[in-house]
Amino acid sequence: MLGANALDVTTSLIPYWIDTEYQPQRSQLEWAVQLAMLGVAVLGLARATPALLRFLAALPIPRAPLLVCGAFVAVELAHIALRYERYPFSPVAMFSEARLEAPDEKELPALIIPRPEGAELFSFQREGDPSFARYFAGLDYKGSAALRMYRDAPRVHAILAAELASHGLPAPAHVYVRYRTSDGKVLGFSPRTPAESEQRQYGGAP
Amino acid sequence: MSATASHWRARLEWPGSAEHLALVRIALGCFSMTSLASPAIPYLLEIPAGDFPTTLSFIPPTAELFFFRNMWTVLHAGMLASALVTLGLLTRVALPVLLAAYVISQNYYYRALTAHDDWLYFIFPLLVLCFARSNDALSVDAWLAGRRGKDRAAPNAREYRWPIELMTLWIAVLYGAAGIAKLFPLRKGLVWLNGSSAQNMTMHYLLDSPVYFALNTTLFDYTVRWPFTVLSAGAAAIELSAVALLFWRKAVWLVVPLLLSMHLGIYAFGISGFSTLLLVSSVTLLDPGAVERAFARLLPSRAAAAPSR
Repeated sequence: MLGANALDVTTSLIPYWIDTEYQPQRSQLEWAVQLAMLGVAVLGLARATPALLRFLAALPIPRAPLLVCGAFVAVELAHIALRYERYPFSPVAMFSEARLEAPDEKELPALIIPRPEGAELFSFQREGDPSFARYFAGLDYKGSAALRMYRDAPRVHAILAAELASHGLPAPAHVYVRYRTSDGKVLGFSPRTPAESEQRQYGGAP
Repeated sequence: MSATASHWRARLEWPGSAEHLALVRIALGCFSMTSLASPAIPYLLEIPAGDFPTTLSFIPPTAELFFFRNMWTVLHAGMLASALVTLGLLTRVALPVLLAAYVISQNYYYRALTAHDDWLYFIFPLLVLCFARSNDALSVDAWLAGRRGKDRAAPNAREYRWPIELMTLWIAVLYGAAGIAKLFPLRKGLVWLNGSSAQNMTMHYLLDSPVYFALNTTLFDYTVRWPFTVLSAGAAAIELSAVALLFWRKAVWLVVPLLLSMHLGIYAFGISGFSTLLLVSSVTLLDPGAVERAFARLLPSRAAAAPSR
């Protein structure tokens, strides 16, 4: 109970950028009760600290790795408790954000190959999967994730256009694809210039 | 101390296996090689990708800029080091070099994509290996030492155990954290558990999912909520079940198949990569005694020559 309360409070302290759609609010009374319970938990932890340190010191692990690896784990645990990410430490919160909407239709930026028989939806994710790839050879899932994320960058357009040209295909077109979420039926494409995309800016060093 | 802590401490006293630790070294060496050889970072350099403002790193910005300008050197050094680690040649030098190259290169990948990826799984095990006797078996180092008449075996087989148990701890922490992140803060967790988040994610990746590639449609009607409620509760329970690895060694037979099935399910819905990461990590979870017995059967002459530990 005290542990769950402590985690509930600590994971709420720092806003995490993925939690955009739903951020629970607390009343002042709730905060007061929860902080009081957290205080009890902290006191309990403080009392247990000497025993914990004795336990750690007695572990049959050589001193240097115990200190270095122990510190790494301790910092990681702090990041988990705070729901706070700073490389190389992480709360492992990917896909943990609360989403409220489940729309019947969705529209997302996409790339299509304009074929004479009709537009073909191009998927970098497909190309990164050896079981399904059509055009790229040797593209792994990490490479495909990078290209997908930056699909509107001029260099990625050039890479893709060259790959498609080697298959006798025209350069891709940047569109929005609208599809039904119940079964994935594509409802239509609308033109899009890369600048309109949801992609972040690119270019330049970190 | 709790029963879990007592059990985990007791396991540190159990004998380990030089061959098992060497297998972990080889698995991490091979995987690091594929990760560093991935076209992802060269593409990101070509683009050139910058940093997402939402990402943070403990590597100072000036150092990040320096490494960005020298990323090819970092990648090449890392690939050479990962080859040496796999072979077990100059292992004590190669491991810190590999760790540094891996941390630096994956920092750039993370900052440009915001993605949790293999770095989450393997930085800590590589750090542990830097302190471990992972080249006492199945390594060129051990072979060369043998030719010089030196025995590389540790005087106490326990020395091969603590790295394995620390890496097991890491797997439990990692998946336990993923479960905690789903459920806390609690009110957010309740919304997450109703399945709308998983449903939203599945809808978002629908056109990029293997299910769609194979069937050109969905497995079921994705606008129906209840399957996602069941899947969400199952995913959180499976992730939290990894903590059992700390107090029940045989839990591996339950936890790993469950985690693998979860990752394969997520893959079907469009999130790839994690099944491989789990399988590589699972080398750590093998029973050291069983690994040693397997090598004794495979290489009986080697087993006979090895000193009794």
